[in-house]
Amino acid sequence: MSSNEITLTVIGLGSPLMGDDGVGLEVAHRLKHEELPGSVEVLSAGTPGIDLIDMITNRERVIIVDAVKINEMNPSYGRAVDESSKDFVFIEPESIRKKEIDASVHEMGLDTTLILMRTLKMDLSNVTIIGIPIRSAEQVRGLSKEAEKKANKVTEHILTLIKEMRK
Amino acid sequence: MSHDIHINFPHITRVEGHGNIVLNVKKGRIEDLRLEIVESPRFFEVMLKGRPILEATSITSRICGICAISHTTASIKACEGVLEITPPPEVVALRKVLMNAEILQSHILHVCFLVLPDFFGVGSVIPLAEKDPETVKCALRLKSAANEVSRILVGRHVHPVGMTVGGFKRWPSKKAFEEVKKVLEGTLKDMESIVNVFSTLKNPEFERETRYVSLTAEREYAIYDGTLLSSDGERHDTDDYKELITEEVVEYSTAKHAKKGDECLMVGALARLNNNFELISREAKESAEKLKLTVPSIMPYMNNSAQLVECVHTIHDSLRLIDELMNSKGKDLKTKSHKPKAGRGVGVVEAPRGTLYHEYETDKEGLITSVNCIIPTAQNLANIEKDIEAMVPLLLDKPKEEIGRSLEMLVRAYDPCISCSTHFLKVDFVE
Repeated sequence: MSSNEITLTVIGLGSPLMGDDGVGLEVAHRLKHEELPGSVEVLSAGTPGIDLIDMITNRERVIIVDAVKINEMNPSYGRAVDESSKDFVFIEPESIRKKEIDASVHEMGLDTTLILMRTLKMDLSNVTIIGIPIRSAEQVRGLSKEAEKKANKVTEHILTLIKEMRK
Repeated sequence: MSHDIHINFPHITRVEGHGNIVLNVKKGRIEDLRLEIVESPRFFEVMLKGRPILEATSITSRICGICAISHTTASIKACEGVLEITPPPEVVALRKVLMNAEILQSHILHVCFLVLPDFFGVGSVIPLAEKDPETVKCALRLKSAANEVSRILVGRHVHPVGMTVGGFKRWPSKKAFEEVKKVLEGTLKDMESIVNVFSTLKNPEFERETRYVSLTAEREYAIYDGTLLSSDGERHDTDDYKELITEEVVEYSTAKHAKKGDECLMVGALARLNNNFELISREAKESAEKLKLTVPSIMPYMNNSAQLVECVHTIHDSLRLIDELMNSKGKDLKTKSHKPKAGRGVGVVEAPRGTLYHEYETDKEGLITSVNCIIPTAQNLANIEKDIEAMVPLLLDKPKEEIGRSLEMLVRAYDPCISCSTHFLKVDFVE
C-alpha cells in the first residue's frame, strides 16, 4: 500500500531505556502485533526530534501516543494531568504551551516540535495526542505494572477506533 | 575596562549534547579555561569486545542518531578491512550518495536551526520561525529531502537497515534511483535560497592558525575514501592514522582530546575545504564566492559557511552519482555471507563534523579483540580551547554577557556533537 492510501497513522513516542517513558512506544509495539487494515500504519518513532514533522505532515489522520508525567506537565498541556487522571487523556495540539523552549534540536520534544509547527502555520488539525500519565521516567528497562495496564487500555482504545473506521 | 572575569556556562545551548565553558581571568590573564564535557560515557568500545565482527556495524551505528550513516560506513569499511573484502564500484558510489545525504541533513540542521538564531538575535528556532518562517520552512524541506534519500535507498536515515558489509541488503531499483533524483532536484531552489540568506550575514571576525586535517583524494572531493592530509603537509595512509592522531584523557572532561602529537587540529567542513577546495563542484565554488569564503581560511566561524558550500556540493555530487548508478547494469549486488577470520581493519570516512575513525581487530573465530573509534568532536575540543584562549584577550573590553555569547557562538561554529564524543572512555577490567 502506498503512503497516500494510508488513512490513519499511529505514532508511538518515548524511550524504552527510560522506564515508563517508553509507554507510547509499547502501545505502537502492541498494535504492530495486531491484524490491522492496510490503511493503518504504526510507527515506533521513539525520540525522533524534529523529524516528527515529516511523520505528521501529509497524513490524513495522526494519533500520537506519548507518556505525560503526572503534575509536571501542567500547565504545558491544555488539559490538566493529575493524580485523578485515569489511564489516558486527550491533548489538543493547539493547546500546548511551553514557557521555556528546548534549545537543542537534538532533544526537541513533542511539545516543542508542535509549537514550531504551529508557529510556521503548519496544519495540525489532523493530529490527536493521547497522553498516558506516568509517575516517573528513570533509567530502567521495562514498564511498571501500572504503565503496562495503561498501555493495554490505550491499545484497546485505538483498536476500537480502527474498527469504527472500517464500518 | 574589566580585567577580572569569571564565566561558568553550565550548559552551552544549541549544540548536540551537554558541555560547559569555565573561564577565569584575573588582571587580564587567563587563570583557568576549560571546555568541560559532562555527558556520561557509553562504553561502545568495551561493548564491542568479544562480539562477532559482523555485529559491529549495527551496534556502532547507535553511537549517533545524526551521523548514523557515517558510523555505519566507517564500521563497514573497518569490517571489510578485517575480512579482506573489496566492494564493487557501484556499492561505493551508493555509499557516497548516502554519505552526501547525511552531510546535507546534518549541516542544514546545524546552520539553520542552531546557528541562524544568533544572527537574528533570538534564542532558538521557535522565535526564528516567527521572524523568518520561509527560511525555517526551506530548511525543514531540505532536511526532509535528505532523510527521504536515505529512506528510499536504505530504509531510513537513523540506523540504516539496508547497508551491510560487502554491499547492500537490497539493491535499489531503477525506479528508486529515479525517485532519489527527483527528490534531489527538488532541493536546488531551497538550497539556493538558504545560501542567499547566509550571504547577507557576516560571521564574527576571528582568526587563528591551526592544522586542518581531512581525507584527500586525487580525483574527487574526499568524503568516503582517500589518504589523510594535514594542512602542514603531513600525509598518511588511513591504516597508519595513529601516526597522525593521538588521543589523551583530560581530567575535567568525559571526552578524550585527539591531537596531532602535542598540537591541536581542526576537522570538519572548513578543514575539508581548506585541503580540497579545487575538487568541489562548480556550483559549490559559486556558493563559496557568494558566502565570501576564500581558502585557506583560518576563521573558525567560517565553518558555518563551509558547511553550506558542502551542502551545495553534496546535492550536485549525488545527482552525478545517481546518473552513473542508473546507467550501471543493475546486476545483483546483494551481499554474500562472509567467513570469520583473524585480521585488522581501519575504516575512515568524513562524517559531517569531520574525520571519523573505526579500527577493529579480530581473532580467528571472527570475534572482536580490540576496538578504537575516534570521532570528529574529540579532535576539535583541544582546538576550541585554544581558540577561546586566543579570543578572550580580544574581548576583555566587552560586557560579560557579550563575551559569553561570543564564546558560545565560537563553540557552536564547530558543530560539536558532544553526545558522540563521550562514547569512548576506555575501561580496563582486572581479570
